[in-house]
Amino acid sequence: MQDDLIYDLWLSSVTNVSNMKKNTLLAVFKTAEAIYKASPEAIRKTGFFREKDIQKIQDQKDTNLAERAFVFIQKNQIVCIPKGSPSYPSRLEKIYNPPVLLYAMGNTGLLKRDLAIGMVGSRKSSADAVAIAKKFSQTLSEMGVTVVSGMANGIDSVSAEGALTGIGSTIAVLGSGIDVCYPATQQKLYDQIREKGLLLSEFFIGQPPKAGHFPMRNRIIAGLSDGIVVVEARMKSGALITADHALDQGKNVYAIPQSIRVKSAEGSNQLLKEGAKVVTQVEDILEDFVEINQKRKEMIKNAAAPAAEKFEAPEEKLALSEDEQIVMTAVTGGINTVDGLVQRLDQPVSKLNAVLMMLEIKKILKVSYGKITLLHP
Amino acid sequence: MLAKIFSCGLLGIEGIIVTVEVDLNYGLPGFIVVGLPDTGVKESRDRVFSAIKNNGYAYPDKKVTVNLAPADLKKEGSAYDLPIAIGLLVASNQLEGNFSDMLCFGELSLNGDLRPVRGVLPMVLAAKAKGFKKVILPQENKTEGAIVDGIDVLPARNLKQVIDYLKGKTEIEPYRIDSQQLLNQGQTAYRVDFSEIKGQDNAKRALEIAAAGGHNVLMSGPPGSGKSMLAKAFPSILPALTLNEALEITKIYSIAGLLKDNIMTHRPFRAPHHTLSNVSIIGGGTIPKPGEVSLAHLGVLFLDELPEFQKSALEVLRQPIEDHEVTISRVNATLTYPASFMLIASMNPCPCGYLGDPAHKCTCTKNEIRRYNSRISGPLLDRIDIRVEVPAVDIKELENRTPGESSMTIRKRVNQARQIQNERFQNEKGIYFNAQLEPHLIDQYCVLDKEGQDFLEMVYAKLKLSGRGYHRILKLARTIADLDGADQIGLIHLSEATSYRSGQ
Repeated sequence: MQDDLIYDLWLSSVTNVSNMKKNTLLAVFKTAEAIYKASPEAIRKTGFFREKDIQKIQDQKDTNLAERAFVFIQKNQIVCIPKGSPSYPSRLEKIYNPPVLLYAMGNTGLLKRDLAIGMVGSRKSSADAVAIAKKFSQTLSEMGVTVVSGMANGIDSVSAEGALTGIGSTIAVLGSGIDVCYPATQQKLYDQIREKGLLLSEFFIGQPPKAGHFPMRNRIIAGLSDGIVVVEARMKSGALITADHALDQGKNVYAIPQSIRVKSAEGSNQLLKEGAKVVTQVEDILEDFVEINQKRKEMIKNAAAPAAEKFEAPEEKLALSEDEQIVMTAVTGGINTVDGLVQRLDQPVSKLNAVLMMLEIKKILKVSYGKITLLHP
Repeated sequence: MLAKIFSCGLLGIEGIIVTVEVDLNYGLPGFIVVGLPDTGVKESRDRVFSAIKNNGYAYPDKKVTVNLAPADLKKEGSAYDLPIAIGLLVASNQLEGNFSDMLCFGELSLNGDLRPVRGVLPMVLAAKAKGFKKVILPQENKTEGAIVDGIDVLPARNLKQVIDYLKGKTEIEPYRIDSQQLLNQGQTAYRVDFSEIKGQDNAKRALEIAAAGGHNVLMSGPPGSGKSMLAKAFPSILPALTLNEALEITKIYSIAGLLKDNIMTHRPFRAPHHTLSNVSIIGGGTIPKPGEVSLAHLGVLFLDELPEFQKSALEVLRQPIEDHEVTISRVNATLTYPASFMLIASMNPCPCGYLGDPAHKCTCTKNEIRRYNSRISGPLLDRIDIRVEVPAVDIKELENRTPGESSMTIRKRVNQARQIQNERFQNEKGIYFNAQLEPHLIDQYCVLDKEGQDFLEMVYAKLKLSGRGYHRILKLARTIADLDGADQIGLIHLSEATSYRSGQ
């Protein structure tokens, strides 16, 4: 077994030969060891490879690097899952160009869960979208759904954070080697996911994050998920690539509707236009996969209740004063700027500032550049 | 015979009385100036020679020694031409009289015409303070000199007129103006009135609080949201200048040679470009000149695009913000210029400017934004009490809005709040408004009731405030309560004060 892994690691470490070609090699020679031991003539005889590729493979026939990596993964409790192994996620086997070797850190049992939903979105998203992503992932995870994301800044990391607490937990697929935390600012989240969730990567140990890695990573996110929720995405963003992969793989694509004026939601709104399913509550996703009985429905509803007619404070002790109630009624009624409140309520901005600050401290809403965002969508 | 004539030099923004002594000795004809003269002073020899000769008097055929006392003070400029010329005439017995109650200065041209000099106001003020009765000065400087009451300002066109006056042949009518009236006349129009700015109620309110309590402000918002216009309108809601304040500002502008009218009638609004150097912001140079912080004295220093300024230029601001004056040490002298200004700064939320703007796409990476924000150091931010976000505005929406309050209305409230503060701090030396409060004074003057204390403790924990942040909220709450006319800081004041801490 150990010997086998050395060859699997070697195959993974070979650079300048695409994952696609490695897959072809595996199809012909069955095991990584056989590939290593195959002569250039044998590879040439397959007829799939150009002289350049054969030369590249021949040049890199050295297990030194793989042996070092082997020591490293044992020391750091990294699990390697080669394609074809029983623990290889069955969802991934079915996709086009599956990774030849997966590196994993954390709870590999998550790969075998019944239902996994990918949550993706823009790195610079509106405060609204961040709040929604957090709430959705939390609810999904509480319902036992594993949330798959890419640990990028913005929607991805917020979704992972939200899902960490629930039983569904989260899988983060990296665009770098499994031992490299990118972006570096997410180190805390990286550690938490290693503890409670699962980190996954197809890239060799120590690989830096490269621009080309991320679209590849996105196909794994789509592959591991039964459906992809696009929370907020710009045009031409990675989130849309993930959605494309999901469509290619025959998965469901969901999008959360946003105002047509929000620039950062152009892509997700475009998806809706093209027929993605509109999602306003977690139930909309779940109903596609599980039979939901009445009791469970209520549970879900309670977990992600949309803003009611009259706003109710989330906590008893944070009872709202009369002024706060008036402001909240206006805000939930769709007035989402300070200027708008001044006009609608005809009250001095000084007083409104004071009231909004109170509400902000009670963590009910957030004011940024004159725009009011509700934290409990 | 030894002649002694009084003139005046400058040290910082103060005039220093200089005694010009002229003595004639036997020896080879020559001209020596002692008392640390610069080239401009030394060159007066040739101007004085021609001016005396061309006005029908004789230049003495002796060795001339001129001493400028106090001898350890650097003398510069051409203002000593006139006293040296008079001294020469007295020393050579061509002129007689007692000139001990008279002070004079002015540059001479070769035909004896008097030319204007800079720094007239501080010099005349110094003369008055030292008890001189009259000042003879160039015609063109007469208004600037006449601003000072209680001293006769005698404007002269040329050397001949001065000599004739000193000989008693002709009289020079003292020039008088009503400086208060001059001040009032100029104080009518401001560049931008608050009523011209539609919307942005939040930012306007923040500026009103800033004006009332003397707090510094940082405005953050996308391009075109009106930050510069708000800043330009800001002086119009500041309290009107008193005559003493006007004189102090005029003095600085007189020294810097920037005085356009006779008296500064408006609070200065300085908006230096972000390429400015440390020296131009603080003041200095071989011949020290006041910098932007002093030129903004009793007015507004507006730093547009704050993060674009050189880091060192921003750091040197810290000391004048704290001390309200700036001390420059150079080889020649150590000078102190007043620098009590209000800082209004503006910045974009990110390098491209569109972060958080729903209508535009921000193209900056997270790191770029972090780098951009980190260009403003914590210590500088700590000295800015109010941080306000100025959102982008929809032009179409603005067209329908009714105009806001006029600057006059707001200024009335500001004046009332300042009045309250003046009364409160009458026993505190050097404290005039809330922004100046030090921590021990905050404890004394910003007392909270139980409800307020509970609230602030909650804020402190939830927003993870620093000690300074805590004090900042208290100072602001005090100003907001003053604007409200309330003795006790209430919950609503505290809450509003907390809302101006965005950008943390």
